[in-house]
Amino acid sequence: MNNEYQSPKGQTAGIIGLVLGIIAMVLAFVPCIGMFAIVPGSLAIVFGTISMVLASNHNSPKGLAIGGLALSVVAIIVSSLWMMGMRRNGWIDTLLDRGVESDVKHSVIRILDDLEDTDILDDENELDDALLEMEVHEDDGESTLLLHMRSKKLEDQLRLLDSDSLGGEVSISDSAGVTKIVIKGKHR
Amino acid sequence: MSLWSSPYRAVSLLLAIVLAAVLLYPLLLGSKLPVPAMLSQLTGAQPPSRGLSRAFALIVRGRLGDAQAMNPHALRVFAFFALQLPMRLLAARCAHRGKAVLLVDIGLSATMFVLCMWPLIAYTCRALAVLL
Repeated sequence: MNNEYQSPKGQTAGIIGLVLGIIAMVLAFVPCIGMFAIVPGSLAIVFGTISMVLASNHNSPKGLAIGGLALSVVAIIVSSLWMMGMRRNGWIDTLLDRGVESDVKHSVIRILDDLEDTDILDDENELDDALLEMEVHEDDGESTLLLHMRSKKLEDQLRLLDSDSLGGEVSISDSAGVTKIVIKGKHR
Repeated sequence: MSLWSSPYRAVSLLLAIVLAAVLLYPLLLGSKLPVPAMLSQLTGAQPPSRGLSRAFALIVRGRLGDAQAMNPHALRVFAFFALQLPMRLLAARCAHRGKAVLLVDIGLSATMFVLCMWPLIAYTCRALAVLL
């Protein structure tokens, strides 16, 4: 029987590393947020390494450290591949540019919140479902908001609004199942 | 029994706290603060995770049919988190029973992860193959 004493050194770091590794592993395989797994994954590697070093120096069990490191490495690989893919396809730049677009979208959402039937758009994600394309053009102090959308509900609600409510002159046309809405006025 | 008397117990309890937070988030914040669908916003793609946080908010309110309509994989993914919470608490309670409990837990949890999250895992693998 092996009576060799095993120190508890490094176990706390190993516990934290394993928990973070498991969290990173689950996050990495969720498509919309997979790239953020790199945060808990990196922390898991730090704690796992600390645990491994302490365990090696003080004759402690290394199972927790090995488990945490293994899971975090896989999670970081998957997360990094997400970021590489997005970078390669120019999506990181698009993401950084989205700030301007989301201001205008928030303006549209605020306008529609004034409507009686405000549960049409609960959040920005629902606008994304309806919205195929949005362009904002600014010229001589006036902005043109061009929306291409496929939501009949949203189109019907917008048709009910007058120019004052929407902050500008509105024209609506349909072509090939897509509704084109042009709002000319002052937008934030 | 001290929390730290067994690393297995400590890991199980910490994960139980995380799982409780995951299940409480949609209950407390509902659909007010859904997780942003960045992949869809950037690419127009419709990954199987789209609408998942809103579907979770519907599930915790008992609207299973609406949740299924919001995201057909929602119940399956939610089941993973919902089942893991009592499993973590049970594991913490039985941590002193030896390595057999640990090995069964690892095997069962890994299998549950693959089975419940399979649509997301498969999509991730396919998407990364296309992107790269």
